[in-house]
Amino acid sequence: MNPLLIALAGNPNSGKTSLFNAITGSKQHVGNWPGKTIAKKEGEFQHRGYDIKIVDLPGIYSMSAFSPEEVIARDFIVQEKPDIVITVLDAANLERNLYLAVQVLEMNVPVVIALNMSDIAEAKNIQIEREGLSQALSVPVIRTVARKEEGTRDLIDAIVDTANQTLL
Amino acid sequence: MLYQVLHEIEKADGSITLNDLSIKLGVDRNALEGMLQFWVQKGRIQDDSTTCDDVVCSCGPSFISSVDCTFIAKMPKTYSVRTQNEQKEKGN
Amino acid sequence: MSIIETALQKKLSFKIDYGEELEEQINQLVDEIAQRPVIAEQFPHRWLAIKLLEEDRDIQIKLLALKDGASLIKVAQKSIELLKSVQGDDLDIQIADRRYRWINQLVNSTVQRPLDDKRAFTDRFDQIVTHRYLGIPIFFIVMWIVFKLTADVSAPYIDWIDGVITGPIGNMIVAILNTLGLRDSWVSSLFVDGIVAGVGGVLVFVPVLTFLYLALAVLEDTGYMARGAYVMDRVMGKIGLHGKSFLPMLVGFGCTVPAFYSTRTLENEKDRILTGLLVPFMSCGARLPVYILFSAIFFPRYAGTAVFSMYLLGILTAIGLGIILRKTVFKNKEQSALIIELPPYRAPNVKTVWLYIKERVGTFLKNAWTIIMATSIVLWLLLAIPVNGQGSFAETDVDHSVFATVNRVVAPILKPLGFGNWQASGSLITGFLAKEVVVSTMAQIYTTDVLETNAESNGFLQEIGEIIFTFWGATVDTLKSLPLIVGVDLFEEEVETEPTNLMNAIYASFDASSGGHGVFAGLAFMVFVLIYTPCVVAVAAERQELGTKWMWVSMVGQLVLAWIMALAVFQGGKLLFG
Repeated sequence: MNPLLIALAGNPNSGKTSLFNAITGSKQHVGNWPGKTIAKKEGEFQHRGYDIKIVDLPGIYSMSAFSPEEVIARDFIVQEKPDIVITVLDAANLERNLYLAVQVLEMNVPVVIALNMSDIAEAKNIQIEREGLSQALSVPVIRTVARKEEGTRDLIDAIVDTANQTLL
Repeated sequence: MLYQVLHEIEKADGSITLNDLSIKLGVDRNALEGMLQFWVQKGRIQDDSTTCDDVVCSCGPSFISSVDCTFIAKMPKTYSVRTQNEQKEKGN
Repeated sequence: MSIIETALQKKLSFKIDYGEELEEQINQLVDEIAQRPVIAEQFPHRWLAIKLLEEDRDIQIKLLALKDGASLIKVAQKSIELLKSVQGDDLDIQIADRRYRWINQLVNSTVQRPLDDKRAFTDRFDQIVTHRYLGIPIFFIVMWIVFKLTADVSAPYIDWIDGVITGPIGNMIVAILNTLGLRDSWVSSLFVDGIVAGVGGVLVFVPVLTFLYLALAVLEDTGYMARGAYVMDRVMGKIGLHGKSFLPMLVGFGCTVPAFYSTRTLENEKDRILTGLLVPFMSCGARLPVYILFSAIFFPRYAGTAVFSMYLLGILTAIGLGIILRKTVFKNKEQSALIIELPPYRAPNVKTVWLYIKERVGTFLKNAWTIIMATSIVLWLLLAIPVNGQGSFAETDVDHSVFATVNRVVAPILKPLGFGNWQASGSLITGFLAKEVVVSTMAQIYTTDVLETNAESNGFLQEIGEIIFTFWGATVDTLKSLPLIVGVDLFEEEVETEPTNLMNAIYASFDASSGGHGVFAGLAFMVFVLIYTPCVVAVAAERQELGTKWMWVSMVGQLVLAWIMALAVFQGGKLLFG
């Protein structure tokens, strides 16, 4: 079993916590970020020969240093060098959410984008060309609805595919 | 984009609604709020909901239900552009 | 590096083009970073270069702890200075600006979003109600309908409360006093002429306030008020008032006291004082009983319109005065712009509306049992004490009371305004305690026999029955009037209600003091009440917020302005229509 470290980044209210729960199920444990009172959630599971550990980063809008949450998130990516960062985007508020995604991408880590709350966006008749988005950002973009556990399997598959490409 | 936001506000000469701004710039309302928040962090714009006083109780969108409030109308959420002088005073 | 690895590296290196000048410095810094192995190993190179140009504090601190970190910061500083001299602004703004532009282009090419229905409705509706030219008339029409509805719907209930107080409740009080053997004593007079007349005279206006606040709360909760605020804000802007002045102004329609406190949201002192000086002209709820009473007396057919025009006059006065003060005392330079977030329209929430009415009407009732009750008792005393031995205590004609004698001194000043009698001057002076007191004072002065002191109570149950029966009658009257209000009849004349003794007495008194021009005197009195010094609590708040000097300026100014405007109304009316 190959170990794989995954970080989960996203705006507050992007459904990041729901996605974290949907992926990890009941195998989670909650602690604090070192020296901070901000909660740190971790979960573990296995998939297609990988021993996957996933860390939920604080909900943030940007990777600047305006808040301790932002510093925690980027320090984790820089220092722990996760194998993949899942960036959760609220599909109904894509333009704002992309601001964070772009900054994660600039950190030169492998990224998989979860286009979450897609059902809400679809209900509002917002049409997103996932293919075009994926090409422009050069990362996989997966449709998810975390609350209904839709697309979580696709997301995990995409993580493993990306891992296979970049690590082997 | 950020500069266009400031430019449109100045062009409005007075006040402008977030909605008009969003239409004029072709930017999603939510994204626009993000941009305004950036300017707030840079000290060029002030988020008025963060400066309000307890006595005034104009904070938050639902103060109407607060017992001590004798307001006839609640203030919509506003941002104000800081003048050059104000920026200097606040030392931002 | 193998071919595959290079391809992967290329695939991974996502880049936003920050423009030639920035890119040049970024590339230089990336080279510098590559020369420093300790740093190069820890950070993504391009990312670090960008963070250095952004002058990110946290990164700077982290670098200083590393080998060659200080020298890297120094190199970066040169790039920053170079770029700043060209761009003239902080680089993190430049960088964020480029990011946002990049994202905006991406979204425009990959996302199609129709306006969702709720938003589309709000947007289309807003285009009309916040229209540059239509917005203001629409706002005033909406407010006029509010006052019209308030006046029409509440009228039957006012009569009902009046009937209950002077009928069943009054009878009961009289019966109790009689049973206690106090018939025709000074105690009886205190209750009947003092408390029942005074407090009761104010309580009859509870329905008006209830319906007014109901209408305003509904407008507020649906989201229209925010539009009204926005529309009025543009007017404020035109006369050079700060955009944030509209909050205190709107608050002023409820009560002047919190309006003064809310001027604190204005940071600039000049803006704050100017707004504070104008706030009292926004007619507060306590002045409404005066308008309602006087409109019913002098303009029975156009009561709603008359009340509304008082509010309008207050706004116009504030605007006019604002322009003058801005051009003279409070010359201002730069005005800061305001971005307003208008909430989407929604159905009003019953609970929110209820809480709002409860709060506002509750305050009014609390005032009735405290301030009004106390002043009624004191006033009764002043009206009961005779001067020059004319009659004895509580037996004297009010004309010979201490109150009348003292206020006769002031009355001549008001003569040119058409209400130069002690009753009017006395009411205005006591009105300084609270504006509703103007009404309660008049009720006490003019109606010396509200109740039949000899009346026997009809029995408790029968009285309760009558209260309920008459309430039902009032409700039916209101319901009957509703289809008329909603329909074309909104614009028709109102049905005259039977004038009460109090109304007749006031009419006669004003007619006498104005030499037969009672209508103009009544209107002048309404204008005076609108403009003159607000209540003592408001003045205290004013002193706290604006300082003692401005408090005095404001108080004297308001008195003078009230006098001039009432004079213009009375003399002008006489000249044009007399």
